[in-house]
Amino acid sequence: MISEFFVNLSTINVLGTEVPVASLIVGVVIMIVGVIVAKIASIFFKKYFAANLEGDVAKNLNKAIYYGIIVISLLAVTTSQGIDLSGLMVAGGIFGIVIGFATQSVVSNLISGIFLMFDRPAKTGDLIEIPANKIYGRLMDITIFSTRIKLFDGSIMRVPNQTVFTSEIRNVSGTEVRRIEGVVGIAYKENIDQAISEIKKSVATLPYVLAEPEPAVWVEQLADSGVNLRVLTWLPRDDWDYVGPVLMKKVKEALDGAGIEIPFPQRTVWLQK
Amino acid sequence: MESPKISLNDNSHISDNFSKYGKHEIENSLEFDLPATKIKFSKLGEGKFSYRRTNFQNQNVEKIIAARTKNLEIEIAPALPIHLPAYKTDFMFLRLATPLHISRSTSTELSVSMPIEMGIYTTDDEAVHPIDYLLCPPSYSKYSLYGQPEAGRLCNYAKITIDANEKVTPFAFGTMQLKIHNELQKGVSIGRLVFPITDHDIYYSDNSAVFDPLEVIVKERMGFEFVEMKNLSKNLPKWSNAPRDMPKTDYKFSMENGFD
Repeated sequence: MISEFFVNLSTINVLGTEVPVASLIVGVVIMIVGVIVAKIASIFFKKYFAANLEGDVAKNLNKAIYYGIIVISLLAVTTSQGIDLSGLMVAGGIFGIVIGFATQSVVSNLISGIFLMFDRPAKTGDLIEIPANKIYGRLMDITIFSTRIKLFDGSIMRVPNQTVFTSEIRNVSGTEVRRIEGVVGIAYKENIDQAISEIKKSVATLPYVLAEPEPAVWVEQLADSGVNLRVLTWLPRDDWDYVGPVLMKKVKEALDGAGIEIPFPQRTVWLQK
Repeated sequence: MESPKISLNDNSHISDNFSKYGKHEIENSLEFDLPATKIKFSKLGEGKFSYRRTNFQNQNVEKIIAARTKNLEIEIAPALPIHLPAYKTDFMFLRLATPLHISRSTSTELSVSMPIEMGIYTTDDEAVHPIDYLLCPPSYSKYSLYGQPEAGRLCNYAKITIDANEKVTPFAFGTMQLKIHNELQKGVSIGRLVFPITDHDIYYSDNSAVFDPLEVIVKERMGFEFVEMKNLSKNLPKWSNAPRDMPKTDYKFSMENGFD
């Protein structure tokens, strides 16, 4: 009964070409071998070559090798079956226009992903910010369609590649150091030079604040309730956690210790009879 | 070239009240007194020991050590000043409190006090393993940037004085000899020295620590002035070589972002 089934199915019409079932089986075998070869090549590449390359370059090359072998296998399968792809080309051209409109965003993400892999605005592990989307976190991976960013609450944000490619990206990990800033107000009656000196002395005791360039403090604004001072400090790029949360606390302690008043918003009302 | 020699004092003033660098075998318990810091090893059981460090700020560090041998073998030694508060870079940035002016075509030698950390290690026949690094007395260490923020190099930082009469504070500082050559046809001021400290070894004896010397050569090429840094090895047969937990990289480094 099984043999009868195969006799009846001795050939199958594929894109107008009569392809023997046995030949199709050979095609499937070629495809399976192709996938296995692609996997082995990928494993070998990761083991022997990826270690000597930069993280993202290694990843992209690995993908290119893997999918390259798969595509070559597919071409080998179609060639071995004697399938004429010209019909598919014509049909595919019309179908492609329809599909193109329907999957515009998917294709856009795919193309953006390829461009991002070449443009490389950041590499895996970098701290990046996409201000337009209020996304701030560590870049995990740029895949074909999306970019994955690990946020500070532990969750992972999947951002379409098109969004990443067309947005402004701030890469915080691009240099060895970064700067953080804060603003504090002091009362108008206080001595500005003394306040600046106290703040500088205090901030400089934080181990991760760079000694050079030294912390800078300057008058930013003569504001409604007091004189606003801007505090700027440099630190190693990955050590925000040791300075950011305590910087302004340290500033307040310094001002409190020196008896310098930090004014709260106030308005003087004069009543005239 | 003339070679005036500025010599640093000897270490005869070092106090004998504190423990000394060296290797120790702990059977039951042993205490070490360091400036503003106490270290105590105690036996907990067969092959198990506790390590406790306390300082005057009541900052305690405690660890349980599983030893390979019945008795615990440890070594207290000076360590490169790169581990605290966290290892970030192999480079050291020394800011000279008083800049050094060197006349044209002149060489000079001088010694400076280099900050050190204290390393506590377990030792066996094959290797040493760090248990703890500390600063004696406890203080905060700093970092600095050499170059511009967009392309500079992060360095460990220390401000030092060049004073022939300055006494080296044991446990906090070691001594490093600088051999400075000015190859230019004009005098230059040197206000900072940046170099890869991990290429230097430290040697110790009693309470003294000495670094490999540093050769500082002021050069000019195509009108561009820079300082070439080379580490030189020191031959101190009676001194012990301090353990190190990272290999030498053998950097080729020049200060090309200024040295004043």
